[in-house]
Amino acid sequence: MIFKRRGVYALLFISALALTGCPGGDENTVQSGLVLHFAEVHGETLPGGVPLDATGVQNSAAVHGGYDQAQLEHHDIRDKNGRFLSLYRAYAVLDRLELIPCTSLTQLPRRVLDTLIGTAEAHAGHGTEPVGGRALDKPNVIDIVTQDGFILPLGDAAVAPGRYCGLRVSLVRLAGDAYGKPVFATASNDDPTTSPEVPDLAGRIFSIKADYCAEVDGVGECIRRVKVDADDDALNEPAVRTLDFDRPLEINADLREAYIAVGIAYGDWLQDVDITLLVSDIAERQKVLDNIAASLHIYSHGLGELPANIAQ
Amino acid sequence: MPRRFIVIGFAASALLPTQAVFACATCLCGDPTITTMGTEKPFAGRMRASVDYLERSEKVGVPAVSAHEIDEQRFIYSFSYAPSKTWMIAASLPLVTKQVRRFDLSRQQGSGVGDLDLSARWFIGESGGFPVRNLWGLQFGVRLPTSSEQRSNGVPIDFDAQPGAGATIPSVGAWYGHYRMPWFFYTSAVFQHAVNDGYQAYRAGDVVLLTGHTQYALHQRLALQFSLDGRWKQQDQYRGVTDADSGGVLIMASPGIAWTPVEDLVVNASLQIPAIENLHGLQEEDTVVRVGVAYDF
Repeated sequence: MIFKRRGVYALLFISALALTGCPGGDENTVQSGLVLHFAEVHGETLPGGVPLDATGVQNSAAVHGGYDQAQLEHHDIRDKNGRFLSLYRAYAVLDRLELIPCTSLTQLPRRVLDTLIGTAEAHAGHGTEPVGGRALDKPNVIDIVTQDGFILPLGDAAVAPGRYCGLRVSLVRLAGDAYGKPVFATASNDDPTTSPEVPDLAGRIFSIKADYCAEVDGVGECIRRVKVDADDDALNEPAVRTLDFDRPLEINADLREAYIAVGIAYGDWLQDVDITLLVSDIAERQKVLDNIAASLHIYSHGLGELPANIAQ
Repeated sequence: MPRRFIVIGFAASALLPTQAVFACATCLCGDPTITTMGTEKPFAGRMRASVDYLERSEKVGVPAVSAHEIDEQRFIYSFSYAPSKTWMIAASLPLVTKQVRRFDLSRQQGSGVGDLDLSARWFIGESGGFPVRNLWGLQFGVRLPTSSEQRSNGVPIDFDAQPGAGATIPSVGAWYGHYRMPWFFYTSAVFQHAVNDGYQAYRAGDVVLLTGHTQYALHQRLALQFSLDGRWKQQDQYRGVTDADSGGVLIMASPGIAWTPVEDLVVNASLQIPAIENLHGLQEEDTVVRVGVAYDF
């Protein structure tokens, strides 16, 4: 072999150049992106609303036919006739949180183009991070019979920089796994029932186990209650609700973190419903689903992390 | 044959080893053995060392939902050796830096040694007398997981920013070369199949690489080149889930030049321009820039 000095020198020079360059010798780095924290907060009314006075009818010691209202945690709501319904189990299935960018005249051509080529908005269902055991890659089951005003983190989502003016939320039929899905348990076999059934939510958008007073005695105490269990699987879905922000939410390289808390005002669920027809009439149950969707609202939103819970 | 053509013929042969048909080790478009081994008939004991620099980028995913852009720079160090006149073996080791920028303004950078490529070319037949007009044969290769999974603060960085896939990927193919100075034509077909998962449960889809390459020697020290590099790829999988934005058909058009400033040293430069992209999901390859230098011992 003939040693060709110039060529070898050239190769060595190129190699030295490469090593000083230098792919393969740089630092590994990670810079986190823009993040949106999602949460759920339920309460009887919209923020600032006046809670219901549910001290009307008291149960007689001989009351029967319903659930053990005195011993069970429950929320009371009222139907269109002013009749009180006590909720002992109430679940709703939330999914597909979707940010809606603000539209301005200058952005219109781009928005039209995006629509034509089918680009999607910032779905919370992608790039999600679990928070407190929940995330946004699967539906989230919300247990309404828990403390009002509690901020329940649903998960974090990566989001593109932009100015957002609303959020689209869907109530969906549960088909598979979900965060917060309750474990089915049968009801106790007593009267009044001391342990309501924990429903299997498969195929359901919502489920309630409730009762109301159907008969009072001479002194006005309730002596008979009627159960109202509604969790059928034939309602129209999804119930999609578009919620507008009261002011745009802007997130960018300088404002990298924000939060949105979706509220559920369960006190509005029966506002046009006759609870005596709820079990027998699917149209009444469809109204309940529509009312659940209508009760969704933006509880709060802003920059930074989710507010700390003050409800304990 | 007139003397002028013989001279041009030898000069063109000197250019052949570093034809800029890209061995794009990441996008896997182009025959990876051409750069490292050249295409001419070897003689026993022939050795070649080369260094190539490659810069590329691609965009993947749905805008504002899953979109990310990958930028990549790599140096590829290669060495080839002919133990006989019918076999050539080669090894290529890349040093890689990759940056991933996501739609949410997050960024990740990974840097390190990539996966080692070992390859062998078998010269089965020839025809055309002297000089040889036609050569053909088979080629074999394997990509070995010599890279290590890059981390930042102990946490593995995104797969797309990893300098290597961490999988073992054998390959087999056939090739044919036609020499008619000052022209040269070369074509090959290679099949690759990953035999195990890479980092983060990544399973590369099967790949078929088709290459058609031609070169024209302008004079003794300069040649023009043009290639069509095709890749058909199955969709990749991560943890058993098919990556919607992977796989498909990509054909790159690659103009380039090769220059011999001194004897046995060849400098080449070329562009690999996406010509046909029929890819699954949302993928967009950008033009690849490549420069290299090779030296024959």
